[in-house]
Amino acid sequence: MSDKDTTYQVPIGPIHPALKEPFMINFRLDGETIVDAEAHPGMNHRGIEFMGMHRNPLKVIPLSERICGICSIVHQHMFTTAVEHAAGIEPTNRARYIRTIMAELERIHSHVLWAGVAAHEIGFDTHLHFTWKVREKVMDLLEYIAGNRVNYSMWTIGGVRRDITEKMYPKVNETLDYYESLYKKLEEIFLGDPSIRLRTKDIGILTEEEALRLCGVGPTVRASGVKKDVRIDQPYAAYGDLDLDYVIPSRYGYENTGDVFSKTLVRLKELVQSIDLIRQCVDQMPEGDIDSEPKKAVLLNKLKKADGEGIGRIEAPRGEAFHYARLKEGQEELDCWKIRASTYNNLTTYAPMFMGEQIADIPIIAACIDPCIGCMDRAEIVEINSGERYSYTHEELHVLSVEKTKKILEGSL
Amino acid sequence: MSYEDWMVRILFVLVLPFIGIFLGLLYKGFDRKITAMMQARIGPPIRQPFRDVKKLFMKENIVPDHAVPWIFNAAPFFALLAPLVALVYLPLGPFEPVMEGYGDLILLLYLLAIPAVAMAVGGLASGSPYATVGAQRELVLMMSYEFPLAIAAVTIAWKYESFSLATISSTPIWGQVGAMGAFGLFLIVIGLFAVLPGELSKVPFDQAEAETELGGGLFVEYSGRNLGVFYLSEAVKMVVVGTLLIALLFPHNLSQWYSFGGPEFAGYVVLNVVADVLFFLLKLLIIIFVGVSVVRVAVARFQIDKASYFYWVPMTLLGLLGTVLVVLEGAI
Amino acid sequence: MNTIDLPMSLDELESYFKEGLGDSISDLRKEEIKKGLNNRPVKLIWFTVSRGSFRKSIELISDIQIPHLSVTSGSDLGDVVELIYHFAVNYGYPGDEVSVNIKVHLPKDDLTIPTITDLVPGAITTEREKQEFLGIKVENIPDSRRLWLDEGFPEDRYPWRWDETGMENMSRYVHDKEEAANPPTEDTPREGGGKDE
Repeated sequence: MSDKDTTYQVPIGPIHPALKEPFMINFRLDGETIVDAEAHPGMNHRGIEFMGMHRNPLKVIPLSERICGICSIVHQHMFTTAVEHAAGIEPTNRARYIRTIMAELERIHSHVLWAGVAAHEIGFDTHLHFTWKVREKVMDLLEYIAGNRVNYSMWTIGGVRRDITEKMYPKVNETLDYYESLYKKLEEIFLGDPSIRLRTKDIGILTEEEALRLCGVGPTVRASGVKKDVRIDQPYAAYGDLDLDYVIPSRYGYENTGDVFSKTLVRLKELVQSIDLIRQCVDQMPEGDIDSEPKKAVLLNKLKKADGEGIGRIEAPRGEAFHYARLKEGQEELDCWKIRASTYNNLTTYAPMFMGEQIADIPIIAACIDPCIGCMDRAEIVEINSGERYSYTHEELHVLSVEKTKKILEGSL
Repeated sequence: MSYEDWMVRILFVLVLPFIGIFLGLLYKGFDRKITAMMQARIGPPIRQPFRDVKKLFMKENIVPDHAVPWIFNAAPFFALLAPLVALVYLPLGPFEPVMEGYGDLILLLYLLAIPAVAMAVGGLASGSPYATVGAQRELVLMMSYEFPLAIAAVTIAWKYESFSLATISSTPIWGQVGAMGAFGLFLIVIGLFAVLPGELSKVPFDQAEAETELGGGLFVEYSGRNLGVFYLSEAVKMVVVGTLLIALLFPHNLSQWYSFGGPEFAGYVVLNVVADVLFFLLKLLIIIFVGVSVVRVAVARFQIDKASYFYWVPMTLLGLLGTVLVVLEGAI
Repeated sequence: MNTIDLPMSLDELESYFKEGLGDSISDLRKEEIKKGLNNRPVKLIWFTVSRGSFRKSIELISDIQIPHLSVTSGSDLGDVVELIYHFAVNYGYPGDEVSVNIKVHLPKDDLTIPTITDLVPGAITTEREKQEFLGIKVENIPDSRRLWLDEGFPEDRYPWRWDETGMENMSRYVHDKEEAANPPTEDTPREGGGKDE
């Protein structure tokens, strides 16, 4: 090659179809080959930590839930764990199991959603529509249990706010059976389809060494063979009672290559693992209260008197996530709150994965760490049978949503 | 040629573009609807492409600061004009081509290359890095799929010893070859169907637009009227490529096998022509369904080097094998 | 480097750090929280090191395993800025993972800390974040540009500080900045009433 610099710059983001959220990656390209990649986050920094430090912990729970639309369980789970740790409050055992079930249900919906996005990124829209269609089943179950599709408002300090009763078990089992029967098909699509293999094999490789050095988390590094999984390493909620193992490709007879294919494999296998974990939870769910302190005034008083610091560390669908919270005696607000989502740590893993790949691989690699994506919601409904078209107002949609939730609860849907 | 003949031709030349655009948008609508149904979606109504065009023409036409305005604005019109001109040289169903000559097929291949070149030039003139990458990809892709296409065209022309489409479409080629030649032709059909999505920039060969990678690629800076013209160009191109495939390989008419009524029935000529036109439209729909809709539902987008490899190696070899079989049979 | 038998227990870790850091370690606290029906413990260890031996403590962690840094959290404690480096050791050993939380106190008149990116390359994101949000200076950081905050955000304001460089005054008046510049008078009263203040 001549000494002349033939590279040029292509910015991907802040608004780009390859990214589902405001985020920017600056690429330096030579022809179609990537020679340098640099991530620029912070396009949507809302100062949630600052806001949290001006509220009492009970008010922060709904705030923490709204950090992300997809991992709404994750952040409330971590936040409550951190505050419980700081204040020395113990959640009841039944609450631990309910938390585990909810977290695993969320993992199912998150991974199925990811599979659809990944298919879309490589131009395979058929599977996008298929996976998002089947995702509705678990969304319905979550709505059935919690009353909401997203932002479930289940957590409280010391327990959960809604119980999973025996009456609900058949519906839970039915959904799990559905996904179990579906898994074969998903595996066929994402691991067997030649055109998907062509786009995912040997693309975006992250070696085990790099994964460890860059402190990557979750399926992103487990695909490289790194055994990091908070659920096993440092069991929280009810995971200490359950039987589970690290999901790494070599356990299933594949190589720990760390390419996009392995990451897909790990996510699909975690789907099976989640189904198994929920079954275990349902089988050994202990009796008892769901909330260790139902009187919120008493709880607030206790939190005000508490003095200490705590961490909440859980394995989100995207990997380890972390909250640090500190309470000060006599102060109602949080003294310090630090949030760390999984994507924060995985950001640094972008550079080695992008290096030397093609432009065509940018979307799928950008998606393969599963950056936290906004959520889908109801917006407009087209009535095809009558040929009429409505655009619902916010209030009408709210009424419809409440009606649908009622239908799900009655079992007529 | 008589005076009346010329008048009829001029009339046809004036009317054909509208027919071409109408058919193109209609088939685009079918393609979208069928694709949606295969993906378990409801999909847009068939008339959606017409609405899209109407809306695009109503919108503001923005020329970016970094663009070269005259090239940027001229590119869409070249992209639309070339397939409209090509339409004049194509036999549409029972009708003979309006214009004909000795090198129709070669002219057509060049006319088909113009939209791709115009798109690339327009993309390069728009001064956006996405469009530049898209233009590079479009040119690479064009160089790749032209080869199998040329092989197919040359093989068929060799069999007829003529590059005139009127001659080729007057007698279906399948009747002129034996078993071995038919197999060779079958390989060429596969090659041509592989070229179809590449020629029309559809998945898996839509790298130049690649929504998730380049956000529209070539068209990223285009808006309003210019984008609308590109949209029309794409629609007409679909009809042209489909019709070319029909003319080369399946020029059969319904009237060859079945005639509605006989000479004793006054309107039978009209009836047969109508039946033939409908049959032709059906053939076009089937070709677009098989070559575009099904393919785009069933595969992911290729990387550009793999797409190029696909055309240069397997498809070219397949085409050459087909050619050898057809030629060998002729020699025996 | 001595070979270390993994996984290390809490007591082993305590003596390991005490031995390695000597006098510069203080406030060492071990925690074991029993969770679930089987009472599987969650193990944590907290300690404070002086700035001088901070890098030594990271080196000690690097000797155990390739270090996993969860994140660095930080807060303004008045006279000092406290940084807490949350590490995880013994990962890969079911149930034995220990959270090692290393605290460093930086006096407000000298807010500098050496970088650890040479030992933990993944720490770059969190080090850059601390520079922006707490106004500390990370020495020898490979990339000191801003990461999260907007370009227009003032250079001398830090969102997590509670003193005069913090955001308290900013956030309160951000929404009616225009009004603050042109306060309402009797001749030009506020439109639509407004607050009674």
